[in-house]
Amino acid sequence: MFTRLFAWTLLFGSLNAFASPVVDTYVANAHARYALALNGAVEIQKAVDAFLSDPTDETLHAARIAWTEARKPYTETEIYRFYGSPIDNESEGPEGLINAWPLDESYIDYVEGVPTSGFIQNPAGFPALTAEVLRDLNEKDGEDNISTGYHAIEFMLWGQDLYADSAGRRPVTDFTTAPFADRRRQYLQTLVDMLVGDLAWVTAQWAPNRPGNWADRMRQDPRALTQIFTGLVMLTGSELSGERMYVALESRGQEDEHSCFSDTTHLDILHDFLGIKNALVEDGLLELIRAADAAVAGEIDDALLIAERALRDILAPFDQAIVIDAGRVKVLYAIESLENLAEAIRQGGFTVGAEVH
Amino acid sequence: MILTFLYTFLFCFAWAGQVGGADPFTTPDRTRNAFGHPFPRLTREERRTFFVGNSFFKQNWVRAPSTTTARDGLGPTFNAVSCSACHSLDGRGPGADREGFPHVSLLFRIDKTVEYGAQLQPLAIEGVEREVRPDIRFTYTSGSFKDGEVYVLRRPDFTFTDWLLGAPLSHTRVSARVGNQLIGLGLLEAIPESEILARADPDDLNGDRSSGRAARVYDVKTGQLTLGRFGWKAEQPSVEQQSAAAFNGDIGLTSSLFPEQNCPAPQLACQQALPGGEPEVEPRVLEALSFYMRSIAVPTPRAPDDPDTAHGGRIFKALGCASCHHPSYQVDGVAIFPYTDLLLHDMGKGLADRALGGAWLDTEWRTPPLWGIGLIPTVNGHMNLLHDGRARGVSEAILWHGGEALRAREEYKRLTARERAQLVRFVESL
Repeated sequence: MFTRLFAWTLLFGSLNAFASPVVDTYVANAHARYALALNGAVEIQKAVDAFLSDPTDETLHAARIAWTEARKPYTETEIYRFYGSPIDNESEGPEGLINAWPLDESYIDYVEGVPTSGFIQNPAGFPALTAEVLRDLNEKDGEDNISTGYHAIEFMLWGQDLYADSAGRRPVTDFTTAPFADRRRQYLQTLVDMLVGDLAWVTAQWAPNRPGNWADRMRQDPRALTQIFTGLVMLTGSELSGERMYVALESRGQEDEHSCFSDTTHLDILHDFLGIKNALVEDGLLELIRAADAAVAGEIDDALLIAERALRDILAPFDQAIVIDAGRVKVLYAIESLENLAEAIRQGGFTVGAEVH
Repeated sequence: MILTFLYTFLFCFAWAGQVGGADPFTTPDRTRNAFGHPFPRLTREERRTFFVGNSFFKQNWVRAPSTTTARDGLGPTFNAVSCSACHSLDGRGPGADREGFPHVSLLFRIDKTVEYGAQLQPLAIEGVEREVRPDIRFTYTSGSFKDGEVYVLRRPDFTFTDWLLGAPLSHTRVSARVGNQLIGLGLLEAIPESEILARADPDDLNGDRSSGRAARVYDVKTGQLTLGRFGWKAEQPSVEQQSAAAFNGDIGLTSSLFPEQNCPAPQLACQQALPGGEPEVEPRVLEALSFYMRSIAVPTPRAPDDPDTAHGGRIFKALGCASCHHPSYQVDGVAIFPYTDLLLHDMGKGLADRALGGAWLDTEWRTPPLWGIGLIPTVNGHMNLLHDGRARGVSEAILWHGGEALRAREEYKRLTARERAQLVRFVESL
């Protein structure tokens, strides 16, 4: 027993010394990546401002493009979830305000078959759609009752996707001449302002040279590597492959796909993966593992290659990919490749002293 | 240098200790997702089923007919539109946290009546009327610990107005219940029946003032009377039946176990509303959801080695808490620590359900498991305990104990402030 312990000590002491530059890189890149995500949100805000001051098909289209582009850097930051970092901070963490889904659209506005639903069309109950009101409404009386964040904005910009050959087709008139148009304008404006504010808060928590900043805390935390690997394994093996892909594959329903209104779920999936790859390759985690156990690192190399190929091969839009046989085979293969990747990353974590269950 | 070495050594020691103890049923997560993890020992296929079950747990059910056929059939009368409404993040609802119309996480059972069935429904789909409007008023009482410190307890009193078909008889019993955290249910289900029965002592033959009665309940699947394990009164024998009963009683959904719509005969609009399939909860959905409910990991204890926590643990034993909150069992050769005996105990008049007319009735409650409760504030943003959420924290919950636990409560009141804090800390660490 003592010999084993002593061996661990030697191994670990040395690995720990190597780990710290990797943690430094990880936290510095985290700040930079959140800054990109924030920048994307600011671009949505500009485009929505332009749309609301001059609502036309063109300005609506531009807002949709801005949203689609902004999702890419944001999903690449989802590796920073699942271990209590600022996005999931227990008292103030705004993840539920930023990216909650699935979203019951009838909680917000009219839907097919229920023309009067949603708090937008209930000015008596909710006279002003302010940030404070929306914060209270978010996840109120059910995890599906989402009133804020990317997917609420997505629903406002696209509306329900009732079409096999396109995304949602919310008409511009919903914001001009339709009943409750002014409420939709107010709601959309509040949503984008909140998104920018919440992402700015998260970004600031990761900024260096700020008293009590998260980056410094993580650098000094002996469990930093465990946290890092927890985020990677949870995103790869549970959130992405399970909640966001397998559930949709099983149900064949677009209500279970991540960005169902805009038909951009395939991009969410790919950029979640690219975030995982970034942390392993760019931040130096993979090289750290290679120094400890080259064979395990080789398995991660292979798993990354296979998963990336499988994910890029998923048919778009995702709501069709999970329905037609040719698409389903590829989605299932991609899920399996991510499950394999998660297992390889977990093994990689063990080699550097990060125990993730 | 020496310090660095020492530090590394200690760190390794802690870590090496965990290697051997990789637990198949627990999670080290301390964040707001702490109640949302699958058992680590699940296979890949089982994990997929877990995620599918989770999606049906979170999602809102909608009224039939709807294009989302797997998710329609809400009501016609109901208490909530999803499981997660009352068990947000697989945690605990706040219950009676305010006066006025109750939070969705609270439901009301009654003695079965022809007009209303066995549960009152405060909500209904369009075109159907709700059964009743519940209201909460608080009554505050105060007392003091032996050291003179004063405490205040908050008792919710429930009144009902707007009865759809008139008020039931005044001796009809009403019981408010809150949605509980859902960790480790599969482990509670797996405790051998013989072990639970061995702890039952309905006539208190061993003279420890704690009786412990095993609930005998109807198992819908087998048609047999069997041991009740789940629910505030241990009224359900299995996770599956508990889930199906909640679908039926709380959301208004039929399933293979409860194929009847929850619409008492006199409620015509309810009777005539369109169903969302027969049954509304498809068998594969009930299966996935039940699997999910059985497979949620239990958070590992927090700070078990802290001296205050350890001392709190000794007080817990000395006060006799452990005679009902039985610490540990073996499941599949692994020790689990739920701190319950799953038996019914007389908890005194203070916690008793009351009749509509106000009389005290039915003082028995199942010992609730204590594991994980210290994480409720993190997951759910409150610490409202007991069956209706009346207790604001562990200390108040202890002070509500009566009946068989009267002596333990009185001894708790004689502790010093420091000892009380240590006991609470221990309970919150489990």
